[in-house]
Amino acid sequence: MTGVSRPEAQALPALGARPGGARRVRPWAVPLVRRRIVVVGGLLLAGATAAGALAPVLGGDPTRMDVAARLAAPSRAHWLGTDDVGRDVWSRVVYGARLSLLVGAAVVALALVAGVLCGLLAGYYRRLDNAIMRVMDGLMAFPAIVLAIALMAVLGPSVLNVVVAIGVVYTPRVARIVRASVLVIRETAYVEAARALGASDGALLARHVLPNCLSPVVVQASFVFAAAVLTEAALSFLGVGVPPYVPSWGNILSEGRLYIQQAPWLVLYPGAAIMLTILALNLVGDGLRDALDPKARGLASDKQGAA
Amino acid sequence: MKTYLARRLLALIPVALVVATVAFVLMHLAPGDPASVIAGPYASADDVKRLQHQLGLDAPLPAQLVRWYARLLRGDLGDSIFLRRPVLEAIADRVEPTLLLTSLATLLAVAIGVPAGIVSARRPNSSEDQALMLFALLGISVPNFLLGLLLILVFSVQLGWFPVAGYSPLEHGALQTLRSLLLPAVALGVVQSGLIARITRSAMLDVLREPFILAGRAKGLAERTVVWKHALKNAMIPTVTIIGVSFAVLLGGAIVGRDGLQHPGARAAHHLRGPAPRLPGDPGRRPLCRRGLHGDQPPGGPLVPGVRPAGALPVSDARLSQATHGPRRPRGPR
Repeated sequence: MTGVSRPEAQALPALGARPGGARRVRPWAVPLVRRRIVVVGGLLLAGATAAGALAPVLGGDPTRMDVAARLAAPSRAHWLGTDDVGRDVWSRVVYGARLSLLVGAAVVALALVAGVLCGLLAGYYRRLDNAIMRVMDGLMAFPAIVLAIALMAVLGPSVLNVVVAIGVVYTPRVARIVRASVLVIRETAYVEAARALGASDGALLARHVLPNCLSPVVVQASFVFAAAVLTEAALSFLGVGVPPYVPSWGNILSEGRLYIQQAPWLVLYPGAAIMLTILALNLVGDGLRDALDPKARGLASDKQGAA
Repeated sequence: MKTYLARRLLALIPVALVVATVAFVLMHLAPGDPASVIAGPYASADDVKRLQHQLGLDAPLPAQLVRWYARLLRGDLGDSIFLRRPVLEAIADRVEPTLLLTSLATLLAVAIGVPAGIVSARRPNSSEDQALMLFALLGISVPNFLLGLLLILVFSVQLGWFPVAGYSPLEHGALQTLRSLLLPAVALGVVQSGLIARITRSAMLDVLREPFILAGRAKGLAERTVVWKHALKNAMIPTVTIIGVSFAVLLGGAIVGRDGLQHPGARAAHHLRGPAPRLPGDPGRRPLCRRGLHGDQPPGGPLVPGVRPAGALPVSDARLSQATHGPRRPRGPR
């Protein structure tokens, strides 16, 4: 990336009136390449999910200590080596996948339910709008990781609390998007028509407003998922996430960094696992956005929580 | 413009109020009683009670909330039990490294991200576009604390070019400061550069489709003038916004990267450590004032009402994004 320099850019031959030179060369390639990379993301994600689901079969016991083989390099017995007390890194990474994906899914569920609810109420009822959105603004003003750490301090370390803390952090982001959609949908003719036919507020919201504001939410969900996985890893890395005895990628990294010189595999493999998972989630998110929400340019919310 | 700015600044007041309230609520939800922490494990129940009274912790919550607001308004953030000094002073101490690190990281992010986005947008879907965007995606997919660790592994441990940890203050020479900041700044900046590259690309693509670009080309302007002068200026509107947001994110979120790199920055947030702190790098108990590898990082502990610097960070954060939202509107309509 650093190899990109200005003169190179300027030396490019002038394009035609329209940008999009590739279209002339390979008209079919554009959507396919996009989709292919989304497929790669989907496959990576499926792989991580499978690894997490089959963790007991694939990995064995992540807490079994083989004290004789402390900090052993990757070998046939320990595919990814062992950590400082002789636990198998492969097994811990696989169990970490299970934890990360579970936490991510739970955070998405929590943030979506709470965010959609707040967004619907704030967007639809003018009287609630200010109150709800100011609280959301207040929560958004905290940097994601700081708020998550503060909430963890309040709640105490446990997997459930990690979910709650990260869920609270990402709720306002969902609520904002939903509210923005609702503000537009509220004024549409079909909502007015439904109201004229005597639909109650509840039916109106559930039947007509909610389904029509879902596609940006679905797109956002994949990015929240990625951010949640990242935040969980960051919290555990800082030692305020899931308890130390739970194998999580952040925990492995946090313990492994002490031995980074003697045993780099302790950092490299869980790190690669985090990176690939988040890459996969971002790829799928990009694909979803192209498919569902072509006009969205809301990249700002991509990864704000990424610390 | 002036009234617009004033309005945006006024809109900060309710946000600041909410932030202060959220901080207050969090502090009071936290387990642990500051009075018994200060008094120590051997204090009698009476002593603890007296201390609670002295600190005003036995007052009803609404009264405490009002006092919290009043103190914040006067700029009094109280004393930190862990650092044994006024919180404001502790924050001020960290301003230099934090601002320098954040600025350097932002500078790197812009220097990499904006040109990459422009080159990408010049020829969408070309091979260089796809390569750059893949890098951008990798950039936003790598956790900055991981990148920090890997950078240390390569450049500090193996090559020995940079110090593994620590911050060299400006007064000891700017070059040393730069050396001590470069690795963490790269770790933080690369992540944000991916974001900036993506935004710049999509903004440039939008602008390059505008009729005035066609007009510029039609009247025979050099491609360089069209892209760098006419298109870039307009494409910078969303980009500037995202740079502002990213500066704010870096300011607040740099803790993780900094912790990963053992960097003494705004460690204020470390007050927020959980009840059972397990500081990486130190599995055992940590003496209060140990210096060296860990700088003067305070030990973790329960959240303590009245002594936490909360509020300072989030408000400045909000102000930043407000400030960068500022230029948007006046420049927006073309």
